[in-house]
Amino acid sequence: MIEFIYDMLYIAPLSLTAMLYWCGLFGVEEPTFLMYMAVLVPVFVLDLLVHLKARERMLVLGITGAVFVSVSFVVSRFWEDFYLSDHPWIIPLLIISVLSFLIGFAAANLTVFRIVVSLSLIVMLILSLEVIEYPAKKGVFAAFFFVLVCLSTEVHIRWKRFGDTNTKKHLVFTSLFIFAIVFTASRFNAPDKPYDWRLFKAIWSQVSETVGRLKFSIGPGNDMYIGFSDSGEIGSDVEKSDHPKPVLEVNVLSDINVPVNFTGNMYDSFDGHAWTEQKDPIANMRRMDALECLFSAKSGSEDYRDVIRDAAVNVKYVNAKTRYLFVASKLTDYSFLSSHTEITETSGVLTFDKHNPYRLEVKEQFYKLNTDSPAFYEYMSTDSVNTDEAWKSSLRTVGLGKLSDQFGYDQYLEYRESVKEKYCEDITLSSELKSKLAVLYDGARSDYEKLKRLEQALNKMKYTTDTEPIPEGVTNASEFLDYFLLEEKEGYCTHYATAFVLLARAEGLPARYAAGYRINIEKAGTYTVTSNMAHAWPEV
Amino acid sequence: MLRNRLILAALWIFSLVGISFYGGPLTYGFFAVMTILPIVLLLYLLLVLARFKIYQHLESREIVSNHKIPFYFTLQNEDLFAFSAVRVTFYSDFSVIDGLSDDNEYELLPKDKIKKETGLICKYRGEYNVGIRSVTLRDFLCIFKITYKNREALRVRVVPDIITLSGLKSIDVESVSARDSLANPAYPDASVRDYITGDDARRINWKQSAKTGHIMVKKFIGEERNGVGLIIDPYRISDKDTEYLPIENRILETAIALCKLLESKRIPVSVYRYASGVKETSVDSPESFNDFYRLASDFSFERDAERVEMYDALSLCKSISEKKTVFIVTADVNESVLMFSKSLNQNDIQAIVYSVGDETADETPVSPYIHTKIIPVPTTKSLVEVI
Repeated sequence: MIEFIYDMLYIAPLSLTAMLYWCGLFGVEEPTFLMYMAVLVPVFVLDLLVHLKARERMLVLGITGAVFVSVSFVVSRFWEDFYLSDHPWIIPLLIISVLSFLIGFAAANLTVFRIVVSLSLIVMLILSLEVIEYPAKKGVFAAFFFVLVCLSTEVHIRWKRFGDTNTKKHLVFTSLFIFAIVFTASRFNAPDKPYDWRLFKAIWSQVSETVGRLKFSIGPGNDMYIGFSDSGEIGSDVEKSDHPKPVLEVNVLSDINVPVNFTGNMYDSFDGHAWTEQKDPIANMRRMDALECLFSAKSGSEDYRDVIRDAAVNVKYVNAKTRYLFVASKLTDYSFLSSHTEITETSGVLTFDKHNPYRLEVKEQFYKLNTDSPAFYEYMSTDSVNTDEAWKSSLRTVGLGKLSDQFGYDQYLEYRESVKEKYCEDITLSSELKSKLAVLYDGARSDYEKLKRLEQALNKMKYTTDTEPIPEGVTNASEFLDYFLLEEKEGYCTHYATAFVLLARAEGLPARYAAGYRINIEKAGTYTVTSNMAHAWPEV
Repeated sequence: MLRNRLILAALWIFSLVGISFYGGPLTYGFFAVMTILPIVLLLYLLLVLARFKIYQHLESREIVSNHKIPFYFTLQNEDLFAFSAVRVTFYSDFSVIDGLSDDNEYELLPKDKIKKETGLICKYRGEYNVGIRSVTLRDFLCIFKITYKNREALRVRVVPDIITLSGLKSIDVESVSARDSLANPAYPDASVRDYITGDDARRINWKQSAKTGHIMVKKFIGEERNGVGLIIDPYRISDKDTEYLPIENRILETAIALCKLLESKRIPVSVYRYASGVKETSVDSPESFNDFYRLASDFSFERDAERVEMYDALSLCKSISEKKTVFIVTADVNESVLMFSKSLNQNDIQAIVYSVGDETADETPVSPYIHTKIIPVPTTKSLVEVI
């Protein structure tokens, strides 16, 4: 009995695998019960015959033969119709059954055969992935069962133990566990598509997020290097690393096609070495600045949309831990897409209480200046007509018509005075510089033209980040201008922005120094702001 | 087993790669099989652990060391599935199972029973566990194993062996208690000896005392030494039982063997031990020897034994001063032992120190005194061969 079961443990799965491979080759999707019987019954009988004694064997053979012959004689026509017409697969399956029995029996009793057959089966399964036809699921698991049975037998043969170490008995009495393994495995789904690891990706993402949050909260404070610095010092904190860090991710929602400055901090006073914020703050400066922009565009052009357009971006803090909310110039509105946090505005500078929340995401709406349009330059060159009515029209455009007592024309005029007071001062220029500027500005018909000429002149100077520190002897704006424009004649954004602001003020134009990031935005999409994109610029 | 585990891990990782690139029952099935396989194997082991039965039997729990006692154990499988590999590990620090190895793994088919009848030999005196220490089970693919510690260990009480000696090497047994000469070799011109507490003050020899600088008393002519003294040093040399048990066992065997030999020669032996004072036991007959044997079986050693106090008290003991020879059996020949032997020598008493340990003859301290012999007694050699 033990030997019979042992042999069947090899023969049955092998014959099932062969049958299901055959079915796969000939397009039989779901084998019928009769097909299973056509394969399993013969192997069962053959194995039984092998293990019976001679007399019993003869008896079984005799009975089987008698049944077969009588059926053939009595129902010969049925035989032809049934076997050859309606079920043509019977003969091939019988052949498969006999062959499986022979191979399985040899594998059960000969080590070399066992190893060769199981390795062949493994190779065939691997080839099924690409080359040959796939067996049905049952065939695959029958093959796994066969391989595990061979493996268990080989392990047993090579393992020295005491007691009853009969290999056949061992396999028969452990086969239940092998069957449990294969049966349980077969209960699982087997999708046709490869696994997309979505769950693990989500878990990984969550774990990364949690770790990132933890590192953010316990990591370096607001001193971590992000390129931008609020020290206001000229010639400091230049990104020299070959591997600039990503700081922000800006998702641009529509085509912009012009560079956009994202302001962190703005300053009003310069002492020769550094910019600081000294004068009284101006309330609602951001709002007023944007309103003024709209007002000016509506007053100075036929269609203000030729001069400015609405734009929106989503700014995500990737690696930054800073007090500053970086906002686009001419900001009209902002809202937090991730966690809400309190913001304080001081003279247009938006700051957090301590630092930005982890992975802060904020939507910013602003006016994009159409500096790529000829209408913009025409607008800049002509004076606009400022009236109370025009101002109210601008308020209505942005939906602030009902807040005219807070943002009224009188408040606007007060705001303009405050801006002049804060960002305009007397700059005493040296005679040499005065004479050079006189040459530069000669014939300019407007302040805009003067500033354009100044910009072009500064653009012609050498741009380099490898600069000397400003000498200790430079103690005010005038000395700085002489040092930078007449002596040193080279520098980078902080130097040029400072020079421009001071020279604009010398012409009586309110100007301020701003620091943040500058991004060259063209089409809609996501732009990564890195630490080496920190910039300083003048705002007039 | 490690190799099989590595193969399983590699195949599992391979299955992960498979399902990442291909779908279908082959790749997912392979992954499922590789994932479920170790789980089922562990469940199999837990099932075997819960179901296997093991019995062990020892004829007696009171054993004499180095004597074989019948022992057997039985492994049984009463279930319908095979137990692939059962390995039995025995306690081996202080005992030996005759003819059985810890490396044997047994396979048990359903309704199988394996019975091993053999003998157990306990090497040292003491109380400890013997027999089956743990059972290790392995699955049929040799990937995992579980070790189950036997919670019903056999605890035995082992008494020291009585070793029969025919004589003592390099010592004339008859002479250890012969009448001595009247002369004190330290002081050849006077039959005097050192004063011991209890001596009659009228016996003080003032002239010799002045000469030597310490009190000397006259010895009566005919004063004879009564028998032999035996001191068992109760000092425990280590906290680890693997270190101290063999030595203590050998100390007691030596003491018992000496007593037996001397008793057989009708030489009375006084055994001295220290327990808040000097305690003396006489061994001068087979009955008293048996009493002493029971005492020795229960003799306790201590790590913080008061050796200095003990040897000081012994050196003042009148009974010892009347001996011809004193045997000291100790694990540690230290300053106290040497000073004590010196004081014995000064009183015309021969001191024989048996130093029990694993030292070689070269490592054994050399006696600085003529009438003190230090004889090494290694634990690894036969006592008969050594002494």
